Amino acid sequence: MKIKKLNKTLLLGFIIIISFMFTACGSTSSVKSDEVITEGDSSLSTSGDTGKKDICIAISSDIISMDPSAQNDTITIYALDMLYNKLFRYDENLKPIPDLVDTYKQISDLEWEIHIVQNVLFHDGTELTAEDVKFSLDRAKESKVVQHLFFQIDKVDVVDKYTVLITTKVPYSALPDALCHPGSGIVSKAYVENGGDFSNPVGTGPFKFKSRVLGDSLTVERYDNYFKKDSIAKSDSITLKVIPEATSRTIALETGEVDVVTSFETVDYARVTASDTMKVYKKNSIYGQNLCLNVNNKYLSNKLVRQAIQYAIDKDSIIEVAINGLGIPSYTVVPQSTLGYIANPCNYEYNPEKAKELLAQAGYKDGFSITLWTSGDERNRIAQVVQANLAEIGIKVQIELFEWAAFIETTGAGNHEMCIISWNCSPEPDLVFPVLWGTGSIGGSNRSQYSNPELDDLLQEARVELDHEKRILMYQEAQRILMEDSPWIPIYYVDQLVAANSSLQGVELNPKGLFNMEKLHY
Amino acid sequence: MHRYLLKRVLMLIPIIIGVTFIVFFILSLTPGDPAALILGNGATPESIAELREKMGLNDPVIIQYLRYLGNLFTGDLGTSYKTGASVFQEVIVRFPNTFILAVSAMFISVVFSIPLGVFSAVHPYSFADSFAMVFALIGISIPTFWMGLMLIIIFSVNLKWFPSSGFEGIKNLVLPSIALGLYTMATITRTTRSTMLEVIRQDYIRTALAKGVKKRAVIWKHAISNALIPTVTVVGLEFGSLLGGAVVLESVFAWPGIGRLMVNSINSRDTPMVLGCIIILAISFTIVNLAVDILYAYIDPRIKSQYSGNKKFFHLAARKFQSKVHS
Repeated sequence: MKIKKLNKTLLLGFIIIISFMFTACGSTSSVKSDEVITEGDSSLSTSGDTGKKDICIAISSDIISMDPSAQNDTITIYALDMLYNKLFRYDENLKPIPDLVDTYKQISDLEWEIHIVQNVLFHDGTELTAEDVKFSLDRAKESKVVQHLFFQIDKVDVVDKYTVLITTKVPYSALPDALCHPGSGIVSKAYVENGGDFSNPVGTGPFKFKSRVLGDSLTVERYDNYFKKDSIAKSDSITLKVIPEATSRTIALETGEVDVVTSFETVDYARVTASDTMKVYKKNSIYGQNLCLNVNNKYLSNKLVRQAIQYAIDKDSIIEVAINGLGIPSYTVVPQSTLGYIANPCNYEYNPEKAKELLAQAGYKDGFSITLWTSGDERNRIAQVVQANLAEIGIKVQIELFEWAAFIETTGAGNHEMCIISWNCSPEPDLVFPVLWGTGSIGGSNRSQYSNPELDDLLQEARVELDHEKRILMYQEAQRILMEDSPWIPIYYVDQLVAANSSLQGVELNPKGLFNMEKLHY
Repeated sequence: MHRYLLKRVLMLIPIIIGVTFIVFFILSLTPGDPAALILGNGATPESIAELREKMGLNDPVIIQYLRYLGNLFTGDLGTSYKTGASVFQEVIVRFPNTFILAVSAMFISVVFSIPLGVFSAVHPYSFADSFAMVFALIGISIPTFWMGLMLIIIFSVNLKWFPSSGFEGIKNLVLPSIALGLYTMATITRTTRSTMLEVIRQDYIRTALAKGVKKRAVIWKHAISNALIPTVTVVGLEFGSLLGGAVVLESVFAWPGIGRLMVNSINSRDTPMVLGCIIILAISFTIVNLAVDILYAYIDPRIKSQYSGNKKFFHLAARKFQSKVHS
């Protein structure tokens, strides 16, 4: 009898579990229903968040380091921007504007005199001086991770308590841009020299460090003595919460566990925009996808073949397939925010007939076979459309998928024929052109193995040119040369997307992502 | 027994040398340069070469390995290539998170699966048995990440009972434990059923029943102890795999465990961090196996004859076991 009773209990428990599973199966369709997603008024709901003083932002990977000079990572920037100030910072259009700089002037081709803002206090109450600036820039120059971004700085001298003199190795008009990189964040010399630890960092930023749980979260709290009185944070604290899975980030926003989602994926765009409780913010980004052609390849060494491929690629279709239409096609090698940008210097367009003509002129009327290397989901989707596009003009493409680390190494060594490569393009062209197409970068980031002495000379002249208008003309010419030679076929720039609770105020984006986080509030 | 325990613990040394050797050489043979990854895809060849030199990556692999091993035996697990932080500190923070998740998943799993397996075996080929086996099949077949997402949609998005991610408290533990537990539950249910089926067909069970002993007592006192040995083995193995293999679920639930750390470290070719994770997993796996072996002695006193050494220990263990059975 008792056994029968036990059996019944077991059966009941088992049926409950099974019913949960089937409910789970059935509820997948409910994801598509906006009513289901946005309804509810429990404690986990997004409604009723007005007045909330602690903001939670979902990020896709953990903070690498809170030492500014020990990282070069796009996610870590969110933390560093809240904790530190730099000499310069980017505005909403990625134009460098003074941050800790009060006034500055270039006193000679190589020397920049910079006066810093007075009475700036670190989070530990000590005052920021020129010594701290020199100490921080010297650290950045010596850092194994970011030194390549500051290699043009020869030395930094302290003139007086609030003035530094930066000497560059060559005339370097891009210095303010370089000093916008978070690697040049100003740290307290006294704190670091006295054994201060970056697990409890001390900066001058609008937020001070509160706590960190490795792999899970970083919490910063408002710094009331922030030197920019009009930019004192409007929230009490901000937590950066690591949620690696894109779907889980969106769900956390739906349930009200987070208030903002960075690295928001295009696949959730329609669903979230249709919701009343969530909102998507969009901005043209600097993150581009490109088809890189190895000019040492037998076929691709022919300029006509490369131009034929320019005409064969249907960028609008790729944008639809790869990123659900959330991007803009690109017909030049840099994005709009980069100095000297011109929209379409060689008037390329999608024209398979023209592509076939060029291929015939090159002597490959019947096409040829070639490999295309790629890595990651989005780039793989791009590769598939490129494969279809090139098949139309007779080029048979075989796609080879790589793991990212292997991809970076082997394409850097130039072992590929064609590859799909992403690039976060700086607004300062000197940090782009020589890096991607300069002869000196072959074996590293010049994956096209492209070498053009005319371009190298032009880029060197542009680097040392101090006349702004002349520099613009030079970089426009550089774009013409590159698009004419076509070692690199720009495809698109994906829209920068950030999703947030619709009640949250102060969400601001620049082409690099979320910024001015001190303005976030309910 | 003490000698046996000591022997097993000392076996850890060759195990650690073995796994670190294999992992170190596999990582060194895998394409992908840690220096290039740290600097990003805009790095110049010169800066990559300079960083490689600073990191000691230009030395022969065997020299790098011996250097690592030398530091390891002084208790230094090194620093992460990626973050520059101490590997020991990072690993020691993450491991308890994974351990808690694995224990709670295993708890859910064992609590449901052993009774379910016994029930199926006692009523073989009945409708309920078939139902349980289909359930087990579903449990094994459903990918854990999908199960995780479904649980999130039901219990976080719709019912709003549990948070969907993070690990602030016990509430955060429930959904990932269920998702992980369902998978292992299926395996344990099937194992328990099959071994139990074998045992209840034995003569001594038939004799006990013929002598009028209650069926419940026969099943839960006499049959189960014989049937549990393979189940405990499976539980041990599954527990070991939960410690290192919950990577996908750790990502879905944003659980900062060691599996995710290890996979991220492999992707960034962060050799010291990968080795740190491997060492702690190897140690924990060995301890779990040892615990399983000791458990055998408690469950089945006959196994004590396989061990040599302290007889008193086994005498006590056997007495404890018998008193448990008869209580």
